[in-house]
Amino acid sequence: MKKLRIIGLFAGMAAIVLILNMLIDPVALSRAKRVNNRNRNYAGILATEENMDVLIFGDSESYTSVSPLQLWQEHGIPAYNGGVQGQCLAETWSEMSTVLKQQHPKVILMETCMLFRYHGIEKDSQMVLAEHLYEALPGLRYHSFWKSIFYTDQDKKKENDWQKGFHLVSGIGGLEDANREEDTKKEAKMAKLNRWYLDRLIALCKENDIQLVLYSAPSPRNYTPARLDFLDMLVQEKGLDYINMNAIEEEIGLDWSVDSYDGGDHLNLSGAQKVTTYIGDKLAQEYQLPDRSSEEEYRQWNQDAEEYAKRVKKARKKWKKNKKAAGTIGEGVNP
Amino acid sequence: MAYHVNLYLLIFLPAVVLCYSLAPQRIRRIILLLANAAFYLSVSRHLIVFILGTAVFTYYTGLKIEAAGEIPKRKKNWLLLAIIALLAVLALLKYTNFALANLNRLAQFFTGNEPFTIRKILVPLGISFYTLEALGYLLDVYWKRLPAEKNFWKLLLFLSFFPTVMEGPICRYGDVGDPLWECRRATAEEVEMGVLRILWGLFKKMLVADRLNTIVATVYGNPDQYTGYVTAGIAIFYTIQLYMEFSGAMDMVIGSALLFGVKLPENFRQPFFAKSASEFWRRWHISLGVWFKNYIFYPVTLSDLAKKWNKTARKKYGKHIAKVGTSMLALFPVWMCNGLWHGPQWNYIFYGVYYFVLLSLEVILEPAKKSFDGAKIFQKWPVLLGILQTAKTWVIIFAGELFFRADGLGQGFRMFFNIFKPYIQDPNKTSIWRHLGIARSDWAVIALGILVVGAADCIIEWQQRTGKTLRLSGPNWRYAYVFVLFGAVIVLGAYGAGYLAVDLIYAGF
Amino acid sequence: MKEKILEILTDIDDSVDYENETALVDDQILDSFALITLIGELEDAFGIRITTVDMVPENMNSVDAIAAMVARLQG
Repeated sequence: MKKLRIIGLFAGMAAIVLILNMLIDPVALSRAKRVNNRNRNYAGILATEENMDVLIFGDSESYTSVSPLQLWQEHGIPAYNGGVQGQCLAETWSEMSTVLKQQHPKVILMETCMLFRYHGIEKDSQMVLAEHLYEALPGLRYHSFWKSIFYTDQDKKKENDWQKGFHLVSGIGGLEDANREEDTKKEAKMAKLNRWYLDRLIALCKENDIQLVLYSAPSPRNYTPARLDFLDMLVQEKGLDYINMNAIEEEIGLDWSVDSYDGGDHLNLSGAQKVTTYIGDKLAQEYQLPDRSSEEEYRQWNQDAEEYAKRVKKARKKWKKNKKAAGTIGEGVNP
Repeated sequence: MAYHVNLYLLIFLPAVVLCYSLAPQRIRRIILLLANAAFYLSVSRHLIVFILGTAVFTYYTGLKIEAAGEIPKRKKNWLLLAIIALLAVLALLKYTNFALANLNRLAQFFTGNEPFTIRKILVPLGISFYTLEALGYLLDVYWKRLPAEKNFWKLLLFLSFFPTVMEGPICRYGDVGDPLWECRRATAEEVEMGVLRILWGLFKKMLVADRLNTIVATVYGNPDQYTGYVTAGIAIFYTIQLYMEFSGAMDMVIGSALLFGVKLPENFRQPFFAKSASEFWRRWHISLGVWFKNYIFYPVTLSDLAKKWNKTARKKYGKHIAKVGTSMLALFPVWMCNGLWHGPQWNYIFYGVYYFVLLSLEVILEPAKKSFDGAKIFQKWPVLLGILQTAKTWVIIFAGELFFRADGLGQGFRMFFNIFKPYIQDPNKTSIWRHLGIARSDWAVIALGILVVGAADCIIEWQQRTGKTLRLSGPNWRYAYVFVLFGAVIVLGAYGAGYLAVDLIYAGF
Repeated sequence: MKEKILEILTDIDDSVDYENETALVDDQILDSFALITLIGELEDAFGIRITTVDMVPENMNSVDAIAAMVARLQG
């Protein structure tokens, strides 16, 4: 009998995990705007019914640089930005495998900052184990959903800054001295673990007939010349398409005194608009992505785009105010 | 690897327990030794040579001390050699940089140069813990409380046992050596209790401690921005964090050991019920206090010097002064060691001095305390006295931990004096407590956790005092608690999105 | 001898029922400071030397245990 009690103990715990996994539904939570942490973009993709042609992955560099609704506005490309703050490549792989079970994009755009992210074998082995667990039991990833009960109106408003995974920021923090001590510690090395996951990502895209395109968002704080050289070699070695936005900053008219909100680490709305326009043009040209703006299935997207346009207008007004406050609007400059 | 991470809980521990339980008895020791090695290697890698070296050295000198049996001088010499060698290794690894840094400061003051370069020294896992266990073993052999161990592997198993090697408890070979080596299978009750205790520890750490860590780190990271009730509050919250985390880790450790049928000593006994600083140290980090009591305090009080003082002082100055003198003579090395043991930092040494002063004062003021306690008002309402004594002790504890957490003694003092500068809440913003890094939802869970743990501690304390057991503590209720705690940890735990993993505090000592 | 020991103990703390207590050290009824006084008094009263070897709970947990230890140390 005592042995039965013990078996019951572990069986019970397993049952709890399985039941929680069943009850916690990321799609429902996402639609109710109850995923208020770094999982929101992930859940957002799962909650999208229409098939999307472009999916964007990466860390915070990705979700501050490419706006899906702008891609829709300018080229009728349905896209979603699945970027996750501080994401590691293993997490990206896990996210990709999960969403590719229901989404069939033509192009996956992946930001490259994650390739350099490594916390040591001890921390990252735990992360890998956790990701495999979340893959098997996806509900557990959203176990903190109950926190939304404590949401204030201000918190709810903040969620509106997330537009199909893109993070709308109207702040301005001009580029200071780029050679900070912390930045010198940013090495141009890729951990073995990351190499392994990159290969798996490439294979995953190949299996699903998806064009994988790497890109580096413009970010002088993250992309040292050494890192950019490393990336050039890597993409040649792996035979990957690559868009290096750091090399075309002038071409798109990027101005670090107004286009970043944290001194050259991340872009704000103004910077993102410039980058998205360029990337949108490139993607539409090179990968023959159809314009779906008049398709019946994507009716809702046109409505979303209208909402988005209103928000962007508001945000740009704020941004202009910030510009004035930062003293960078001169005579005869077109806002 | 640490006791609260998924690698340990989901892979390492279950694998070891399974292999151990399924294997025949003579193989189980090998499994445990291999598990100890794997655990140690995963954290400290090549530094494993240090713990192996200590085990070999301790084994050898233990036998030599016993062999020197009837020749007191030789016996003493072997003991001294052992003590000096073991402490030297500990000192060199942990305190060299501290010594050099302070010598540099002195040199800087006098000559304007810093002659010593400080290179990073890697410290082997648990050295502060297993060194004390080794010293305790040798002293017990010297005092003939234990026969010297003839089986090296038995001693090695004891010193390297993976549940205790990281954060203790500091065990006595006489208590744990035999049961551990016996390697019997855990009973069903022990398995249930082990699982329950692991979950209880996880509950404390993942619901409360890790959340409090964020706000404590925020304030200590920018200490001059906060004053008054905020700093005072943080001292209290840090104490709670430390209690939840350290006692929670001990729960996980004791629970892990139970899965192998090994009973480890408790390290905490509802410390917030303490009515004096000395009582606090019988309820907090008990194994450390017991070690100091057995291996420093009593030996000092029974030394010739102390006895001489006692004899002459009793005649000249009376019993009270004699007692004070002896106590202070013994307390001083204990608290210097306690402070230093925690680490090569001036605020830890201050922590030791702080309690030395307070505990000495308690002895000095004993007669005054007796008359105060005998006041008529307390005869009428004894509860009132209890509350006052507990409140006084809490203030002592919180103040001490404020310094303990500080990044150096200077910061500790600055923060302490900041408490007396009132903090003025910005009227246009919400409460400061919502701007320290955690949300209202986190505070709700912290409150829940403190309530649950507080209630449990009250029940346990009551049961220990009255000798009775509530039905709520019975085996069937405990069975249910496993599922409740498990669910709570999964849903309310501070892991995953929105949280940073928090390392074990005492693993660094 | 037992009388003298009881006298000493009552002097240290008179709220304890020493006749029936068998866990004076184990239950923290006498704390480390009380034991300092106890040892000093015992040594004075019976002319014995108590060393660390004797300093174990088994020797101090009850009046009988203390008496046995004193008797042993006396010769």
